Amino acid sequence: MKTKLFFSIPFSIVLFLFTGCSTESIADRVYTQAIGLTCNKELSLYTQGFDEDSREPVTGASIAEVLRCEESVNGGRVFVGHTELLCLDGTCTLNPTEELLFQQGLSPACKILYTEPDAYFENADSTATVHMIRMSEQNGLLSSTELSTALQEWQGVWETALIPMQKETQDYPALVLLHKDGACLELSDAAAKGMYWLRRNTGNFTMTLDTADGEQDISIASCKLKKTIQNQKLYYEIKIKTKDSHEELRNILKEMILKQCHAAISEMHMANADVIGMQDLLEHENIELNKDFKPELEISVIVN
Amino acid sequence: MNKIHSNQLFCILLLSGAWSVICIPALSGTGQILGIAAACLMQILFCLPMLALAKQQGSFEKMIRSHKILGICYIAFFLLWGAQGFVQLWDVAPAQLLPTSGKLIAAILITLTCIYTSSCGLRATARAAPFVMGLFFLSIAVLILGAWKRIDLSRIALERTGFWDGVQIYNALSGELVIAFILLDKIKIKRSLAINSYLLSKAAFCILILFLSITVSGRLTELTDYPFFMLTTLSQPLQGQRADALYILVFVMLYIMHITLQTGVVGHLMEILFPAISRYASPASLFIMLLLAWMTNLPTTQGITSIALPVLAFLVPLLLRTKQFAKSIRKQHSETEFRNYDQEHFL
Repeated sequence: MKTKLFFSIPFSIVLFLFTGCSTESIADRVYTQAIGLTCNKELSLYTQGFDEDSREPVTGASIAEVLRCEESVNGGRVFVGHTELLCLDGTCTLNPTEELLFQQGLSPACKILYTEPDAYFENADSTATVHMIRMSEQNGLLSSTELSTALQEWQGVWETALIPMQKETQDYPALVLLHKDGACLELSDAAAKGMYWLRRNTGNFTMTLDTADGEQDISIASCKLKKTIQNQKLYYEIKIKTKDSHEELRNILKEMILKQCHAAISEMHMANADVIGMQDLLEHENIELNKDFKPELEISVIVN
Repeated sequence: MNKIHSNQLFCILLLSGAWSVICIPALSGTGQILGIAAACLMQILFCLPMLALAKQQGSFEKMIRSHKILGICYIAFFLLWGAQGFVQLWDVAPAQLLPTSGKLIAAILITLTCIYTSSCGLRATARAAPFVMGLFFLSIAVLILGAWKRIDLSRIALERTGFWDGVQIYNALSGELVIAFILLDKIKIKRSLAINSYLLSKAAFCILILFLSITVSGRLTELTDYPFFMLTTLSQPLQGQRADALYILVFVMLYIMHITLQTGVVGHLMEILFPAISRYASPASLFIMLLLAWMTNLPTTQGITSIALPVLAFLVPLLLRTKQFAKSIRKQHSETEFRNYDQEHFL
């Protein structure tokens, strides 16, 4: 019995290492790092592999068809499971992305970028783009967005998702509110930063504040968001822990965050959108929701 | 059949139950979670008669030897339930987890494995269960790790609606209690520990899946028929490596355990009832399950279990225990009468 166990454990481990390797070699597959979709007359698919130039776009009637075309052009089965970036221009929103996620196994953590795929894939550097989005999110410049959050927002009553957009005039991406019909509204810089505080975020970064004595840095240790609802009114409480003990700096930070949050809410209402999880809270109180409903919202910021 | 250990019983029951849990089709919020917790407590009470009966080993065997028709009812339940398992596999797996392997090929391969494992018997299944259990726990750990960052507690709200749904669904998923009643007869020690651990672990797993589905998948759950598979799509803990292979592996193993357990129990019952034709009973039962699954208008899992569970896992043990109790009282009474008679006439 002991001998059997002695041999069976390493044998089982070796078996796990071989799963799936017998049927296809790695060269038979076409891996994608970035995917672009446009739906003008037909669906067009743009792809880029890891450390490769962009491939020629293919067109077809559906996602399955364009992937088949891509396979015949590139001579291998297309695997989209490791895709890091999905580029959309507003002509393709909910349905094709849903199909990519559920039928083709696109990663739910894949980043989305609002751009013209045609222009982007001409000279694309997807590694740099993805790194730029990730670092902007970590440094508190950009609210965290990914495929699964965008799909949840398009599925909501207001059918609008928050998506990053590359902007030539600034070093980090801007944000747009993209309706599933294609209508979009670019958020101002203040509103985009306000979105960071009103959505799930990580905290732990340093930011620069404008004070009477010039620019000063303040380190954010953590940031917690608490959402509640009482009598149909929404309360968002943002609790921030800083590593600095200077009272004046904290007050400036508090004022700045409040200002940014108000800008974010005002522009979100302008676009008739919900990208800060209002619907989940409103549903707790069994409120009948429609697209024109604009809930009352109060924001409080506590800086320690 | 040789004896099986209480740990092995716990593993096979939980693994078979876990397969039913991952195929839960509907999700209606926290009310359902409360319903599941209530159903679990109810089932702990349901198990009291069978645990009391199991103290006298061999009582189930004696009962079905004397009431063969009851034994046949148990066999019919397992055949129908197993057939429903094949229907579920056909519905769930190809669309959700095996999209690239081809629907028919995957189903044929899984069935072939089931034929092999069912021919090995119940004892081999029981011995393999702790190994599968390790893999099952690993996949739960990966699931939690991947889902952890996406949990949004604002999506969860206490509500009463869905409570009875939760009770009904959970009871419908608990056909293993019938298996537990049969196999308890073969366990020497720690019977109640095995059964209670199974009931609590299964309820905990079920609540975990529903909790993660509500807080992680949110509105996306509406896009799918099976919340667990949506959760596995969203729960990818590593950026550069997908965990799909692990989920597929565990899904297939759980299914094989689920079917093999039923064919094994059918084989065991046939050995008691009809020893002459019991040699190939387990593989034969698998073919009958396939045949039943192929037939249309098969009752749903909920339909089969909601009728069978109270009768086969609660009423039968209760009646049997009552009969035993009455018999022992009668015996005591006659002994006392005999002693009194002795004292009156001989002293």
